[in-house]
Amino acid sequence: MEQPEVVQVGTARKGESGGSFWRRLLQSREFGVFLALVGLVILMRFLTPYFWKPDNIFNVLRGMSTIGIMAIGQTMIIITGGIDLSVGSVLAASAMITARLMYTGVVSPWVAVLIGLGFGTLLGAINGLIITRVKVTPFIATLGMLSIARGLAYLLASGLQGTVASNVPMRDESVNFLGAGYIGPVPFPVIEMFVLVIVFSLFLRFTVLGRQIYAVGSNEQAARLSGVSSDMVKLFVYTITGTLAALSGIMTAGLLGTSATNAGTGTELDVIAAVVIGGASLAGGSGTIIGSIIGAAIMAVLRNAFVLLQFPIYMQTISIGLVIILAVAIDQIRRRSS
Amino acid sequence: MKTATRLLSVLALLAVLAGCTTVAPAAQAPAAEQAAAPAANSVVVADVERQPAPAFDSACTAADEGAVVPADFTPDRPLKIAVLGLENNPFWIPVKEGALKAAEELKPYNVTVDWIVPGETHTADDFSGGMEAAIAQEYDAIATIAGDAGLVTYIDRAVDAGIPVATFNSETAAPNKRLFFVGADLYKQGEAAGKAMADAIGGAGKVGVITGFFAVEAHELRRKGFEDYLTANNPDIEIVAQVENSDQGDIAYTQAQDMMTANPDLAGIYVTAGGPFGAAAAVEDAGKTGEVKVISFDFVDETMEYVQKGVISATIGQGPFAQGHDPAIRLFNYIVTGEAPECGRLLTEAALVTQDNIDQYWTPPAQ
Repeated sequence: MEQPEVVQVGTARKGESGGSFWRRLLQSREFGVFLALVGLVILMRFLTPYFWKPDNIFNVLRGMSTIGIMAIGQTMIIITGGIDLSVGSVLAASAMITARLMYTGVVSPWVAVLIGLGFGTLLGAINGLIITRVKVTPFIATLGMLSIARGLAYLLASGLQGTVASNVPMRDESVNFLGAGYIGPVPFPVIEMFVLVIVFSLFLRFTVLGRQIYAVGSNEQAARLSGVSSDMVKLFVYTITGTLAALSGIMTAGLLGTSATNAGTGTELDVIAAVVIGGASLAGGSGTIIGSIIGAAIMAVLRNAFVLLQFPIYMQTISIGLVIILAVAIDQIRRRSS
Repeated sequence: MKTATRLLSVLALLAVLAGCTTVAPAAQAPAAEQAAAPAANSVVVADVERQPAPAFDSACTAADEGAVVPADFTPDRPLKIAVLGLENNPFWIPVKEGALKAAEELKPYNVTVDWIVPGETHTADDFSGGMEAAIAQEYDAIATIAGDAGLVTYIDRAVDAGIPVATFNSETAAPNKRLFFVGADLYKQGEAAGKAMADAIGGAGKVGVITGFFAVEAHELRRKGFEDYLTANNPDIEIVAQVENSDQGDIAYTQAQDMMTANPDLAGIYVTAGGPFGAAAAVEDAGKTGEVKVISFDFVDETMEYVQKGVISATIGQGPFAQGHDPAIRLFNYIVTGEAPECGRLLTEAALVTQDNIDQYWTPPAQ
């Protein structure tokens, strides 16, 4: 049988076989993207005195924190060969239920946060169940959820009185710390992002479930034959992505002190772009969280550059597209030559 | 005056000629009596001679904006008017209130006004369906938002079927057969914002622009109006950044931070569309309240709170109540009198709200 061998290849990508540590590092896709980021940073430093200042660096990191946190979940989903288009809407719906509960005061603020996280988790789990049980393709299932969760955000904002509202205030200092807080000079969202990146990177690399995520993406049938419950693995990645989207939503609302119905609109594309720039293949089986974070950072630095370097307006839109294509193209060329 | 006299004589003549059809209005008389309205002259809708629509792009400001009253004629049959609106954000609250007020004012004349929300966006995707349904349901008049050129065919189809159409809030650039439009001139709103900015920062300094979408015509008109005003009148004001925030507060927050980083002497930030509270929060968090002046649009709660705090120096309105109220009333008046409004575009007032006059426009929500 050929298939088990394919699993071997898939899982061995992150394994111990082949070359020295340094050689593997240099050949890894993340390293190529990392070089691109370093290049961009050096260029920015050269072009403007304002870029390489701690305040600006922290602003850039804070600006990318919610995209980065959602990219963690999206990376795992894309490794399994799936996709989640609903993260931006799940973000809004979860933040809205949290803000609504806090505003009406039926539960204490932190209970509202837990309910909000639970709500996002539930929406993620529904994605996972529709994909694994009903066998609807991830693209369609999450496209449906994109619309449903956005509608839920409107519904939760408008409330039962049928009034129109796009924003519900969220004014608990301790909860808002999640999105607006600082520890010393470091914005708290940045710390949250890095902690989650480390935890989930270790999880992907060193736990059985983590390795199974790669196995399912490399060759689902083979993974199943070797005893992996691919449905469980998929259910897990969609569910946890729902949780991470909910956290991002509460952070966004906390930053501004208000939860908006349109929060996160279109964010799914930024998140997917970050993951793809970071080296994951939409075909599944490969990708790392570190890579995705670097991908998110490249886009964040670029957006920072729009303002710092006074980009002409239409060049902004074009350059985002160019960077997505270039990052993946350069990687393809580099691999072919090595 | 002259028109009114002429109209009355026409109506008197009509009443004589159509004497035999007065049965219908008579039957409706009890309904009219129930309501507190004064006894009105009755009119046979089918016989009213309708004036042609005013030139599509003629523009003026109506003296009775937001307060136009129904013409005192009771139609010979019940009329129904559809108002196709949106409820996707709080901007629409006063618009809907306007439409409901019009419904209340027209009720004594045996007219029902239905507030209908055909979808979530301004575009023809949602409103074409709403128009089709309203035509099929044989509404006597339709007021609609016309967010893009896709709606032109539907407007023309309704008018060709004898249903007068008014547009409000947003209007297609391409001419169509609508009778009139009630809403803001977005380019002029941009100019008003430019003037407000110049006043706020004392005529000189660096400003950044955060627009909703480069792709949305309404946002571009506000952006260009602002830019052109400053270029023409305040050469000492420099626009140092122009970015789009997809109408989102958190993106505006990051962009405002970046603008202040790149320009430590930044004097102002102009937000053309959604999410001005994000820019205001960034200014406040940076401790630059009063130093960096924010100019924005509309009177939603989040914006007004920052106006009250002095972070947003001025926010510009567009007469949302009139946008919801006036189309239904003016359409009724057109049906019963045949008189078209003076001009095609009835431009609503661009009220400027600052910390000084906020009490006239806003009361903080309870709780």
